[in-house]
Amino acid sequence: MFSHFAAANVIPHRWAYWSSMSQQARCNEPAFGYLSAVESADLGYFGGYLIVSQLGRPLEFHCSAPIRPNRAQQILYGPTLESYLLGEQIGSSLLRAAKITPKVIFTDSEGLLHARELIGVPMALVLPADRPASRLTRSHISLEAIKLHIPLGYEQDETPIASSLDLIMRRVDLAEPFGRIHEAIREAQRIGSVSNEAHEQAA
Amino acid sequence: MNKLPKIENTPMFSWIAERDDIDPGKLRVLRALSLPAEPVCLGSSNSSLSDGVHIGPRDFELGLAGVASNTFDAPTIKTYGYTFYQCNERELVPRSTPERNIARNQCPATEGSADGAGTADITPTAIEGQYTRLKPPRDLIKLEDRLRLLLQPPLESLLATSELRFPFRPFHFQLDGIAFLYPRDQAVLADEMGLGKTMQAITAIRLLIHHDQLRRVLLVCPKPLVSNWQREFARWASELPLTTIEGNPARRQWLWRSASDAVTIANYETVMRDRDDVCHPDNYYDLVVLDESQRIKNASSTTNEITRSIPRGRSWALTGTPIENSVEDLRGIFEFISPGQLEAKMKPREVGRVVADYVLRRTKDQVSIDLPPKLFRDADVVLSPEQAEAYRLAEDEGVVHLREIKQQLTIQHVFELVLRLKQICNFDPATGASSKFERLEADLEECAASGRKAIVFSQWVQTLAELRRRLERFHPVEYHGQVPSRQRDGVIERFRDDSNCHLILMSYGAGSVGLNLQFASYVFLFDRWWNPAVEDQAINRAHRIGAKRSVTITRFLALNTIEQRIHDVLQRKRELFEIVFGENMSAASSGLTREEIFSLFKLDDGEAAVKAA
Repeated sequence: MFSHFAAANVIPHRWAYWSSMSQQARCNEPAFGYLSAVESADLGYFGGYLIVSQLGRPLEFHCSAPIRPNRAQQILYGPTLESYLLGEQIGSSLLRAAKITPKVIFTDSEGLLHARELIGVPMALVLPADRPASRLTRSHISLEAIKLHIPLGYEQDETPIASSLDLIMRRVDLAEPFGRIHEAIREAQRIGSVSNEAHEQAA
Repeated sequence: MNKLPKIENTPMFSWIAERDDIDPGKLRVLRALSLPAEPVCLGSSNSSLSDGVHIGPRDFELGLAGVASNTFDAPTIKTYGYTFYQCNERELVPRSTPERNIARNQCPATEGSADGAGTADITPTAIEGQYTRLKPPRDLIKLEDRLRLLLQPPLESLLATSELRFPFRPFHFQLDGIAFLYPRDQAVLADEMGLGKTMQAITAIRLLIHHDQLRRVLLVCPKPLVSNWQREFARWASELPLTTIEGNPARRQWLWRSASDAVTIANYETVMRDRDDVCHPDNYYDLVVLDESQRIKNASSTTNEITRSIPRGRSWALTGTPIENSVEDLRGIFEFISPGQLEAKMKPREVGRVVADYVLRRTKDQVSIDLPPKLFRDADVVLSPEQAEAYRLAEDEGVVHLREIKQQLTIQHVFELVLRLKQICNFDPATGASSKFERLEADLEECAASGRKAIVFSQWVQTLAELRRRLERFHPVEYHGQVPSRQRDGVIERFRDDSNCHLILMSYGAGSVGLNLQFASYVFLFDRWWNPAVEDQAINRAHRIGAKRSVTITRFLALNTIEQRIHDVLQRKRELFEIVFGENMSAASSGLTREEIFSLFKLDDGEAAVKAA
């Protein structure tokens, strides 16, 4: 009697189905990286790095604490400050933190494209098709509503990038995951703000 | 250089401050993975020279060279990471048993697919540049859980990647509804009737089952709607195995104990009868869905007590009328959804604030669907001389009688008089004279002549029978509590398919919920229900997604009678719903209180109160 109930009763809390997968082998399917950054007037720059499966499902997510240049740095770096901050500092920190190596890394920020010099994975700048080409890129792959710009000096990446697109494009809008990163950074920053404040009050 | 997206620094305590139920200790949980509110400055600077200029003490000694040197120190950028593991997609193969094929073939045209033909894949593309994203509910505290939801692909991608096929692409607001249900343990989907609550619930269940987050689901609905749910599951999620609890007690017990299908459907009466099996501590459901959840609006009712005793992980309620009479109705539903959330003495605005994150309510006016208009006509009729005389005598005698019985007076006595008077407003019992009928007959002539179909609602089966006798030339069919359940689908099919059948005569009780009759162009409310919400439900059988023509609703009302008095009282109460659910909510859903019922005849409720209770 109720033998099946006994089995059913061990069903854990709702999100545990996903968490329980931690016991399972990690998926060996191809992964794709999405590197992005947002700017806050008060706090500076935040970076986010999302690695998704070919179905667009999140595999890893990393975000950086906000970083703000001081006045002297702003003067000394001038127009190269953003690429220094985004590409060399934020981008490289996030890429180093990841465990999965993706087939391609997409970014929506020219500054982050500088991270290509630090890693051995092809990178592409995703821009709307009607946006002019970046001066940091020469070749591009045209898709319907977007263009994938290949960084200067890495034109050989075009072939592996193009061949990877078949794996992901049928299921995922290539530009969509950037929106997720921005939302997640907002949420992490929002919760961080309130929890810091609340924690101090509680103390 | 392209511009980066901007984010605002969220004001402190924007939402946590509103919550006094978070233990300070739990706040530590919030800190996991959250980003600090203070920025890290590049270089080794740790003090501020002036606003926006950060230079460390050492810099003063070393001068400008020192500043420049510091700027080239590699800053330590703190990163926060989370690893997700992919959920398994459950392989569910559509069943192709003859029964289910028959069920699918017989499926009447439903929401959004008046022709009922074709299927559609969801493509992972945005609608008007907007994706439907999963948003974490407020009660999801842990940041990692919140991020897990936020980082999921939009619903359009989830539906596309799950290889799910649909009879048609859901409307954008329906995707919003699915995205609302998907992450919630406790939810009330309270869309206005006709917007596709059934489809939204089925699709959310389907997705959760495919993502292996649900394994056993119990759906409880009113008995007449069981076949409707079976059809809708066949239509929207044909691969999900279903068990319907029915049959004699022994069979039902066997089904409760051995059903291993993903979804079990039972009606409220069955759940009441089989409470020992349903509520057995080992009989755990990942999700229990209550359709037409106004059935549990009375928090002290047995139905409420039993449904909230079912062992379960998630609790969803579906209703088009979350408030029928008072805010207490919503409290009854919340005793099932989230016990204790609503306290007895909360004011409507406070209730609105508390339930805001649990309830999703959209009206047809709010969603941009291209529904044809709903045209109301108030048919205010003057009673025929015979009716007027019968009415006057009955009311005079009735009121005298009520006053005579004084201490014995109960609300039931008043009800009996109201019902008797309302029946006279329909037909004079002695002569059969009826001003309403004369008007109805004329309207139906026009309806039939134009090849349209009409629904006539009454609260009495006798009235419907009399109408059938008099309107035989329109080949009417009847749908009410005295029509056996097994014959009801056939009645609906004949009304839909028989071009000579222009009329269906329905009782509010049997016909006001769950049916899809959008091929009817006229609705007549021959007599009025106590509660406008029930009338709205009746009207929305015809005026729902899939309706291709405007729907004309004729509301009969006998002037200077009890019908008008009830109408006036209800009219004054239409504001309550709006107070709780916002100004744009159009559905009126307040019934009569006992005081108001007594006041219909200017009777004093005071003496009768104890008796009535």
